[in-house]
Amino acid sequence: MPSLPPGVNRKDFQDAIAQFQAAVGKEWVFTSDEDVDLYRDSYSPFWNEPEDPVPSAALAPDGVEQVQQIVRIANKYKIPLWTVSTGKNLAYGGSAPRLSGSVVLDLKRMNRILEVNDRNHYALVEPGVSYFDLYRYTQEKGLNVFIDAPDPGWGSPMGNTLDRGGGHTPLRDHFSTLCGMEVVLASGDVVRTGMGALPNSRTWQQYKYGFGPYVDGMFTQSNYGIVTKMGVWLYPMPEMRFTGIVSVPKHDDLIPMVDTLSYLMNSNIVLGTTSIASSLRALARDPELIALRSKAGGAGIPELEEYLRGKNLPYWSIELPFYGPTEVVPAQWAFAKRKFSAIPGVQFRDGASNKLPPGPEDLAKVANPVPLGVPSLAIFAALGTNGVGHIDFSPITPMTGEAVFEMLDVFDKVSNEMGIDNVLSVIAGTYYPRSFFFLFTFPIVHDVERNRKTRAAFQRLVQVGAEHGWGEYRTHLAFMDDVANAYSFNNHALLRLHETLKDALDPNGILAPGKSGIWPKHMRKRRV
Amino acid sequence: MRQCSRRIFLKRGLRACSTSAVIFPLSARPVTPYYTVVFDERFGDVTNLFFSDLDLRWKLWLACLIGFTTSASPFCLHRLARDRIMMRLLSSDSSDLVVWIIGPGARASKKEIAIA
Repeated sequence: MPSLPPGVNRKDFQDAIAQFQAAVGKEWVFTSDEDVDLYRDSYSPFWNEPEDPVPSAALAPDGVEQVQQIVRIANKYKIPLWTVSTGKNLAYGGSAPRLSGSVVLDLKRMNRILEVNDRNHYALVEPGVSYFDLYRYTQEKGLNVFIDAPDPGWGSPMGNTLDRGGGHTPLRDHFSTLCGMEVVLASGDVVRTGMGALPNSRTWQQYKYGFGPYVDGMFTQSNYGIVTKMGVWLYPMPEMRFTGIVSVPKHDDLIPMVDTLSYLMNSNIVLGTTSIASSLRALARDPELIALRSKAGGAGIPELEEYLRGKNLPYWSIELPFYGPTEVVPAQWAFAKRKFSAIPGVQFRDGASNKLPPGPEDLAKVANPVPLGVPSLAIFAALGTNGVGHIDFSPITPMTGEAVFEMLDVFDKVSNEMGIDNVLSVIAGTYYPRSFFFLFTFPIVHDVERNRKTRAAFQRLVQVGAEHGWGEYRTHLAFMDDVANAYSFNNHALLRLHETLKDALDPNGILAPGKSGIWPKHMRKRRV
Repeated sequence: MRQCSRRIFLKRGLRACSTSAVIFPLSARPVTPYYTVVFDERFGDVTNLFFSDLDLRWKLWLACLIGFTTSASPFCLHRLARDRIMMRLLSSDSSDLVVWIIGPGARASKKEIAIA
């Protein structure tokens, strides 16, 4: 039998389960080990350790009224709820709760697509709608909208947006696409944000802000409410996607290269996710490079440049994505080339060119169709079966070449210190506007000792990142307290504000205790 | 990983086929006959199988899957199946491959699968 929620006795728990069953139907309340195990984190860094969070039960309501009933029952018995939409979120905790013994509130049955508008390009969806569902709906109805799915694309627009995930196309910053929410508060009250607060509103998904304080951000990466409807902006179907590849020969060329990239992205000319490719990192196992680096004093930058020149390879390169009309995209690429031409020795190459929407023949030719607006699981095939899973350290840095140099230098030092090998999977990604995103992917395996070392390395990176002013944009359950504590300006003023809000909105602490480091008062530890 | 011998492969493959007999008595719903066999040499991309076929069937509460694969291979299918109808994944260890079922309401234990 699964564990009980902390502080709840078995009789109260059984009474609560009976009331949950009355609210949502017996068949949608899961309490057996076999059922509850399905909600554990498949990629848990605590595999086979007592800290691995295990839910006490799971509930799958079918509508907002049932969610209201659930929170009222949870308040009565002080039972913590952990809400998931489709419950993917792999590498960040899957559908497992932060607090063992929580009851998972699984919203996947609330999977109605309430509206997709292709005149003003938005959708209104429930939590259980997946990117595949939304894509199928737009295909079947022949709608002129383009979907930005994360990779893999099996999660939900709501879940990914609430965790402030990123995609690949012009609307890749998913939080920025959010337009209007319906939220069930811990009290059971239902709130609609933005224009949704206006009865009979005609613009809930068209104007974000409504009147007064803008509160939508409060319900992302948080535990202040249960979002039951969400508006998301979609992109009008572009005519084409094209990529242009820019390569530079010298180490220091990265500085003007990134400045030019920043200009092009902030001008909305380059419109999708890209990242910096380093030929040296790709050749890290080349014996010639290893020998060069192993000599006394190490390899100097001129020697590394010479080594790459000998192989006819650039020092850095970047693949620029363009989306838009067939007349405009070539002009944008020509303009980008003119801007980058200020860098001596720069080279250009045309990359992939795809008409949109892609047809079946086009899709058969691409390894991963996500940048073409088609959700996919191809990334799992690319990753193969190496290891059991992974967790990702993902700090945000300034969008400058100097910041990239500093990050790579600091990361290499920490890697040597901690014995970390080859986990840097994204250098300077552009998932979010105006900043860079790095991704360090740590394998999770069925080996307790190795996972302990991984956790220690991860925590060290959080600490070192904070020392350099780099914070994570999102993190796995196991490191939420670490990351929240790193955002410590003025004696943790932001976390104290989060806690003040938590106490006001959810005095019994029933909603997702510990999410993003925000604990209810009775579970809060004394901060040092 | 230890290689799977031809003998073991055939033996376990037959067992995977016979495992279908377990589903009918364990499921409250009728089971459709075999309609397709998917063969993949490596750990493949299941997107098309899911999007063009299984997802449509699962919305109607149809289509059991019986597999004979490495333990990692059904990971995505199992996760996707859960989104629709809370299915179970049941597996039986072999040398380095597993026999598994994904089906509506399947409640077989590992022991029952092994017997099949």
